[in-house]
Formats: sequence, structure tokens, C-alpha cells
Amino acid sequence: MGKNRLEAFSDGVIAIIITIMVLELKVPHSPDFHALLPLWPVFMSYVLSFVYVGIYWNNHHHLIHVVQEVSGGVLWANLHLLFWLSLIPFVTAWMGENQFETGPTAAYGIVLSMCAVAYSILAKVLTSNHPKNAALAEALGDDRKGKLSIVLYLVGVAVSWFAAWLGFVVYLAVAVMWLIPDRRIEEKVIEDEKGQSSTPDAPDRFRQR
Amino acid sequence: MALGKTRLEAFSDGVIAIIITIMVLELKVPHEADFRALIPLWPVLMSYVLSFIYVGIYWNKHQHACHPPFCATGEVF
Repeated sequence: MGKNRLEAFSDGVIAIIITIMVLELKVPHSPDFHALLPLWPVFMSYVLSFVYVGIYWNNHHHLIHVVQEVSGGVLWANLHLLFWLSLIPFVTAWMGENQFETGPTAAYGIVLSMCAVAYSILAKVLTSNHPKNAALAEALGDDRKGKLSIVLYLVGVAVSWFAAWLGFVVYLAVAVMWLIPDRRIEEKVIEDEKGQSSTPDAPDRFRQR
Repeated sequence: MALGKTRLEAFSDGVIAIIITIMVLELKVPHEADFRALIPLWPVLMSYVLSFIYVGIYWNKHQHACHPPFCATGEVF
């Protein structure tokens, strides 16, 4: 089964997700600049979610790029990831509308952690049953960054109960951590293209990360 | 009639992507910040999950259905 359609479909869904969030920025009735002030919490949560969905799109792109083979299981693991990503606009709107109160901020973190879990399931499914995808398995290694993110999201959920803004800061910190693109896969691709991947000690570079 | 199946696939993927995503707009954002405000939403969420799975199944099957020689005739379009 080809991966082109999986990419096209996922790009379509992610493009829609990233765009429908802006609909929550309701147009003010007055032509005054001051009328924009009440919109700032909605705008801030929009920016954060835009960055998150962008990160997922970026990493998804890299993830699928190195894949040679997809199966039915991969399609479902991918749909599972898209499902949780599709809930981001909802929790974004809820968080924005309530000026980062406890409930919505915690719900936002729960959805983010489910997205991260779904992403790691997708990576696992891609690598476990497909010998052709060994390059991806090497590039991902033990995925410490992914595991750390899940823990941090849950920390964000927990601290939301004490101070919701603190939860927002935690989510922001994880986003900054991920803004650096996933070099592991990119380096792996470059290396494979150079044809050096056959050297036995090459994979160690990735495992050490 | 060989109409080239790439555009048919791209178009179908686009339409299905929109269908599966716009359903989430039915999950109306509650005005209260309380977790209990989510409880009335559960029937909407459940029907969203069911439909997401159904559209997913169709998309999944569409991949297999569109392999030649079954696809890309005028009638299929």
C-alpha cells in the first residue's frame, strides 16, 4: 500500500484543524482597537494551538517521509492520532473563552497528552511490524523526548488545579522544546542518501540521543 | 477510459478529510469553565466518535477499491 494517500489525507485533515480554530476569534462589533483587547485570551490559545498543530504536521511529515511501507494498522493508528488532533480546536476555544481557567486548561493538557500517546503509538506501529521501516526505528531510538512530553503534559494538567496560568506555561515550554525540528529523522535521511547507512556503527549516533 | 486516478484520489481524500473534520464543529464550546459543563456534550461526542470511525472505514476501503482496473472510469468519477 502506498503512503502518498496517507500523507494527502493527513495533510488535508491537519490543514482543516489548523484553520477552523481561527473561527473562534469572533469579530468585534465596534471599529475601535480597544475592542480587540477582550480577544487576547482567545488569540493566545489560538497561537499556542497553531504552533502545536504545526509541530505535529512537521513531525508527521518527517515520520512518514522515512517510511517505506504502510499497512491497515498504520491507517488506523494514523486516524487515531487525527482524532485527538481534531479535538484541539474544541479545547482551544474552551480555554480561550474562559480566560485560562482550571477546567479548560486541564482539558487542553489531557487532549495534548492523548495526541502525544497517539503519535507514539503510530511510530510504534510503523516500526514494529515492518522490517522495511528499520531506518525509522533507528532514527527514533527510545523516543525520550516523546515520553518526557507526555509526562510534562500531565504535570501541566496537575498544576492547572493550583494555577491555570502555570499549566499554560508548561504547555508553552513543551511547545518550545518541540519547535526544534526532529533532527533525528532528517539526519537519518541525509545519511541514507549518502549511502553510509550500511556502516555498522552509524545507528549508535541516534541511540545516544 | 483511463482518466488518471491521481486526481480522483486527491479529490476524494480532500472531501473525506473535510467531512471527518467538520463534524467536530458540532461539539459546541460550553460557556462555563467547569468540567461538569462537558457532561451534556457526551451524546454529541459519542456520535462524533462513531461517525469518525465510519468515515475512517470508508476512507480505508476507498484505498483498496481504487486500484486498477476497478477505478478511474467515467462512471466511477
